[in-house]
Amino acid sequence: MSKTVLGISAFYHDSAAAIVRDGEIVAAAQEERFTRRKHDPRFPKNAINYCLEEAFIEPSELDTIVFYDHPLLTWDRVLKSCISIGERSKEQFTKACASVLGIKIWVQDLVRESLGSLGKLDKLLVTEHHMAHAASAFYPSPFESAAILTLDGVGEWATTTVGMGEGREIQLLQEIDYPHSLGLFYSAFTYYCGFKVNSGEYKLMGLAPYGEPTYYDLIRKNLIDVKTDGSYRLNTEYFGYLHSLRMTNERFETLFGGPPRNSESRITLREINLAASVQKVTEEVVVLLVRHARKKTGCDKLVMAGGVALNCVANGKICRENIFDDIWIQPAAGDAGGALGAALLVSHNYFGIPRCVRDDGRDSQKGSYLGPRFQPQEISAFLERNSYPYERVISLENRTRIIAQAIAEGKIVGFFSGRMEFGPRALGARSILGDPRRKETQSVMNLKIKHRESFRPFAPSVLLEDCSEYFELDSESPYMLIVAPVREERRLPTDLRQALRNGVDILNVVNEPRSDLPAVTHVDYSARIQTVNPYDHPDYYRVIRAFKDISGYGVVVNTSFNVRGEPIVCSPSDAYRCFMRTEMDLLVLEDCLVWKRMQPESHHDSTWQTEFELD
Amino acid sequence: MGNERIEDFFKHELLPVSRKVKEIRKAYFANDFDETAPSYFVNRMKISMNKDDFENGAVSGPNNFEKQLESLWMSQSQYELITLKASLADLAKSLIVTEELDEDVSPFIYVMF
Ligand SMILES: [Fe+2]
Repeated sequence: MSKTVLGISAFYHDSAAAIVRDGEIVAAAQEERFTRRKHDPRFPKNAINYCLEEAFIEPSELDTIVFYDHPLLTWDRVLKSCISIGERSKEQFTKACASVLGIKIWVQDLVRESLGSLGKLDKLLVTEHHMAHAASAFYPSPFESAAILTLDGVGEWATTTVGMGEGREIQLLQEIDYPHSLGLFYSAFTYYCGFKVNSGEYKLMGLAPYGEPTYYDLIRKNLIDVKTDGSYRLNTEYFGYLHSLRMTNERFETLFGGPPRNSESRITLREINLAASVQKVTEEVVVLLVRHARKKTGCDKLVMAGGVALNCVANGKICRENIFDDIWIQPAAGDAGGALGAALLVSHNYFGIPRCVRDDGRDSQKGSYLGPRFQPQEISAFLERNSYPYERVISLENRTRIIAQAIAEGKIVGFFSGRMEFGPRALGARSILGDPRRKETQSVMNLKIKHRESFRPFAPSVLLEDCSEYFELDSESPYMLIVAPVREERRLPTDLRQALRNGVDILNVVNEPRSDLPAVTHVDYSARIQTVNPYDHPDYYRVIRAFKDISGYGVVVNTSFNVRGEPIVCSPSDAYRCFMRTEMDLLVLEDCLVWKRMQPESHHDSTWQTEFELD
Repeated sequence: MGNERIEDFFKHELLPVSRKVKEIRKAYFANDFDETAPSYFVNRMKISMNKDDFENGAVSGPNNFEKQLESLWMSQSQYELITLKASLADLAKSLIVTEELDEDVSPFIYVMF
């Protein structure tokens, strides 16, 4: 009998919903895309509505609804932590009460109220947080059996788990518990270096290649003790998160020579070297954990999820170490992916639906294109209604050629095509594309499109079959989760670290070309790669192919379709607004081409500056 | 109103338990480095979820919350906490709110509760 399950993650960060029918992923989306509030943690009403629509189902017809986290155990952790700390935990206790006792504990009532039903079971199911992460990693993977490693900030108690999946069974064998957490460890440095916790971790990772790990010994000696199996403990006396609403404390500041960097102030060599140091420690721990997972489970494949699995530099290292024959990482590795994991876990474990691994060796994540799609008629009606000039190019071949030609001429193209991505990365459904060969692409995209300065290069989308021509990567990376080096013969000599030591600003350094793909090559000659195959998103694949026919390069620059601080666009109207707020030249909305030069001046818009804060 | 009750609970319920726990040197989690331990991993007693685990997670009403806290702490032999169950359920009941629409994700702390 058919079983349809709705999974929900909410109230921490980046809430989301997913629907799974008979083990197949039907839809998944993050709430922020609908509410236009980045990392929206609120109950995901809009994402749920979208998923229900996509599955053609009413809430009362759902077989069940599942929440991705166990609120009672979360409360158990909060309470015990505060009892252990005593007097100093008052601020944290007050905050936690409002959040856990005020809202999270009552999630079942909230779901019933919001949806008018708890589904046929008339009961909200609940999974363990790391079980949901583990399920999100294992079930969609292309492996019959695999070792599982989950790593995040914290769930209920667990922060790291090692386990294995086989068929439809998942077992978590070992864990490390709060307050010891590699995610919180990394976030503490993110905070200390002046970036936002929960989203700025990516920036810290991007900063690391500029620096040298001069603080490595200090960190290893004082902050973290790592065993040979990768298990670790933190010295909590240096961290603020147990008893305050800050990640670090005075002792941490004394150790690293002063207060945290103010987010507005210039990045100094201290932050750069701290980034390099914490990245090195993190990579070491992750590699040891991966080795342990191999030894413990005997499996030759690995799957990963949890926020730390978004550290694509560490992931690249794991690949190059060849510890496992193959690795699959959930693209929505953070808590949004918990909605999907919870729905999959209930489908296979609770309802006992058999898990079918695909015969062709491909995963079941569908390219992570699991969000809303808009029909060309809908889009042209939207453009007509608003009197926005456009041309409709129904021929796929002609359209593809026009887009590729525009990119090759150095134009910046907003590409809105097919179902929206699930997870933090834009993978060619809601992307901004540019020419990777041009030295100026990086600065144009940063300043005129993203309205920011950045020390991070953009990511390349490369034809799967051409990947090894440009990069030293011999596996697929369809979800932009692996960083690999640009091939040696493509590199240009530079001495950027010396320049930094001589006091040159990091933002001047980043625009120096380092290879014949300057817009996507980082200072250490690495690139955050998306390999594009012809199956998951054929239209995107075709654009890159056509670009190759013109330029000889099977690579384009791919950055998410948004301005700084804004969630990735979801609808045609989000896309048009973002297009008009930036200096993009062409907006592709399915088969409708919207040229900037044809748009009336009055539609140009600069309200983004007040609407979205710096990230 | 909510904050007063929280403060009250903190002062008159939580802190006495905290003092008691410190007195008997009980720790709910390990806090020190252990040079002699070969590993910091905890082997899980429960390695997979069964039907009951899925079904019994959600809280339905303050009474159920109280019951769930009790059975959790009984199963862990953490009897010193059981005295808190009724006042915790009361506190929770007084705090039920509709979500605050304007609260932003804090940029300073990992959202962990
Ligand atoms: Fe998580």
